[in-house]
Amino acid sequence: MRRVYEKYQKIWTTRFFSAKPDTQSGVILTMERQHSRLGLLLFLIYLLLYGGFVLINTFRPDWMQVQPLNGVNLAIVYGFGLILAAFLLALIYGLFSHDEPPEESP
Amino acid sequence: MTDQSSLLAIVLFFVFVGVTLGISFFLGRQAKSPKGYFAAHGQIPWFVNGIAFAGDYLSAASFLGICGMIAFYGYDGFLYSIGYLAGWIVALFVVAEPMKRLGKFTFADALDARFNSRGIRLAAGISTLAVSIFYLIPQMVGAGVLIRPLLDFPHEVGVLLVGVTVILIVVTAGMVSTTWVQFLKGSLLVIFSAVLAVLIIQRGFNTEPETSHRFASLGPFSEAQLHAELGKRIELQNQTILPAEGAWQDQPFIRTRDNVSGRITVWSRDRVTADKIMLREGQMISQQKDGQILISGLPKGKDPGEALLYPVGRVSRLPGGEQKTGPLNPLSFFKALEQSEVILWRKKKLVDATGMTTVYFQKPTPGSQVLRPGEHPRFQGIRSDDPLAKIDFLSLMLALFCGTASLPHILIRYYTVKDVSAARKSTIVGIATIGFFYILTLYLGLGAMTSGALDLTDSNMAAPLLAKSINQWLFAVISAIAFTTVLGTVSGLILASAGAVSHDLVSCFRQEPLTDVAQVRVAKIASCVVGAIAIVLGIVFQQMNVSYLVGWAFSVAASANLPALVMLLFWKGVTHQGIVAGILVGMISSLTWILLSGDTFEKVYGLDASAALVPFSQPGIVTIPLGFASLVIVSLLTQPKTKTA
Repeated sequence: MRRVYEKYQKIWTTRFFSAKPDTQSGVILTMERQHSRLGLLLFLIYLLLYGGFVLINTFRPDWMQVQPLNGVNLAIVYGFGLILAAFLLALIYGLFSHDEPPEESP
Repeated sequence: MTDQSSLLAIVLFFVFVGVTLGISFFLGRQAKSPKGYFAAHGQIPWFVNGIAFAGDYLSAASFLGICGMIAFYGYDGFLYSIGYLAGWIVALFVVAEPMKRLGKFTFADALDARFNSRGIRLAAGISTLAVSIFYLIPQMVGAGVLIRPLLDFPHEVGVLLVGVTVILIVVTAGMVSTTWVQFLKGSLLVIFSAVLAVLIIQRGFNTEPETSHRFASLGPFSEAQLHAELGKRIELQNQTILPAEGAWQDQPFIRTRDNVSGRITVWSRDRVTADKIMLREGQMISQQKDGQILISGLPKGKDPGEALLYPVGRVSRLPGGEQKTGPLNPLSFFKALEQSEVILWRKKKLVDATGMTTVYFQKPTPGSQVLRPGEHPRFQGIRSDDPLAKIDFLSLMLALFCGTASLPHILIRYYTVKDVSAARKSTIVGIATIGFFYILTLYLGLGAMTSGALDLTDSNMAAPLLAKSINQWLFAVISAIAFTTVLGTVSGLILASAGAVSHDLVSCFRQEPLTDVAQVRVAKIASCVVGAIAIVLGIVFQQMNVSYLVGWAFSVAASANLPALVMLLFWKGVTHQGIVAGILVGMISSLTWILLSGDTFEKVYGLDASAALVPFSQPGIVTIPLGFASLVIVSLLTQPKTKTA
């Protein structure tokens, strides 16, 4: 399990982090480099989800009354979905971010 | 007031406050240095800090304001929940790690890490103070609101009590104890809200809640039958119809007076079909010119010959005409409500020579409307064709999204953990806890809406009164937690302000940095002053719904702080003049916009909302881009000739 996780972490970090891990030299430079692409990507995904919700509410409020799930309307499904999505994206970020000074996992 | 104080609630309440103060005094002894006082030595475990984030964030606004708004208007309050949580995504993905990496004690540290400029410190310090004070108002209002029914103290005493307790906490303790208090309170709040939500879902819906007065409905009649029918009934019950004089002229209300007790019943005319009307029993409260308050025509009080408003809120029709649904599950709860009809209450103010009367009348509403956005006056605009109303809504949702990551009392919490990875982990724990709580708010709010326990005069009390409709113990616990919630958030905010004053502002005006001891002393003095200001504002703004006020604080925070934070991270061309300009323009423009808005005109100055000088009330959509624009323009104008990094 642990090995699988480490393998994927390696793949993901090479894909989404433009730079090598933090060397602690030059705080500013590191910060900009390390501000990971993964974080930005996840941020954009959430922005789309949230933006979609706000825009539907603003311009097509009636869509919110559609019942996609067994008598529960879109307003609730989408609203709960946004909260769950925030949690899932945060978890993904946590799993694939690397800790700069190596330390014991939680 | 529709409830009495109970001994149990009071005892539990003081136990809570006592324990909180005890923790503060105990842990406060460890916090003598600035690092201890402001940042808890950076030694808080990430999990504790994550829950403490929830403790800081789930303020009176979340718990009292959102539940109250959902209880009175349905889904709309939940829009705030969604926006508040979304903001954490910005905090996690954009702000958390750089904040931790760059700063020491305050938000200004992080901004100033590259430039070491006094201007930035000054601007960031001022904006921290402004946002904190703005955010303190709703917390203090919430405190007063809570304490009034619990201990039967007037609003002012409640606010004063909270203010003094918090100042005590902050002065004795600092960030270590604030963090542990927040951890305790955050956990209790989430756990007990979950218990409450489970009980509500288990209870299901009931068209006749036990606590509720049975409000009568007459009809449907045709217009012609109305007076004959009313006359018959009135004769039977020995009542008199009062003439529609003064303010009552041309209103959709009829008043009848009981000839024995003198109690006046107000009936609202509700047109149900083209030619049929119903009369529904309402309630009224009159503020006489001489200061006396009359409830339904009688003096306010519990004794014979006096009257109180009845608690309200129920489902009037369930699917299949049942009287009870029995236990439900989290999804069938919504499904049942969707097919039901709920009695919401609306009010109308009538003013004449004798004083002002507020009439509360029933508004039967289909469940499908309660569960969609657009019922609250603030959000009705999204169902209209008015583009300004739509922009207002977009503006609010933008401010909520951007505001979280700019709130000073959230930002300082990044300095209480030991490294960047702990900052990240604690944010994730925070998101999980807060998200879970916000899901609960919808159940709590809708449960309160149908509990028969709502106080019409006070939307902020919905959640505690809901607990009371289940049992007295739960009421005591929930009230005490809500009160600790206020204490915790207020102490976090006061600490953020104190940090801004002693660490940022004072050091701008001195050649040499303050000694450690002096810095902590200045912070403590600043805490007292900010606390005093908060007490005064909490009394002045007592009439406003707290989550609405928080919306403002978010707008100011997002406009003033976010442009500086984001641009510093993503653009190399930022100059210190640019940052100062961004902060000041964002802060001043959003504050000015709020002060000139229709909502403030109406609710604070008591003027006509249409006289307002800005086209819609929420500033975010204008002032956040304005903050960014001024930062970029000033930065471009002040580029150094040779880059020094």
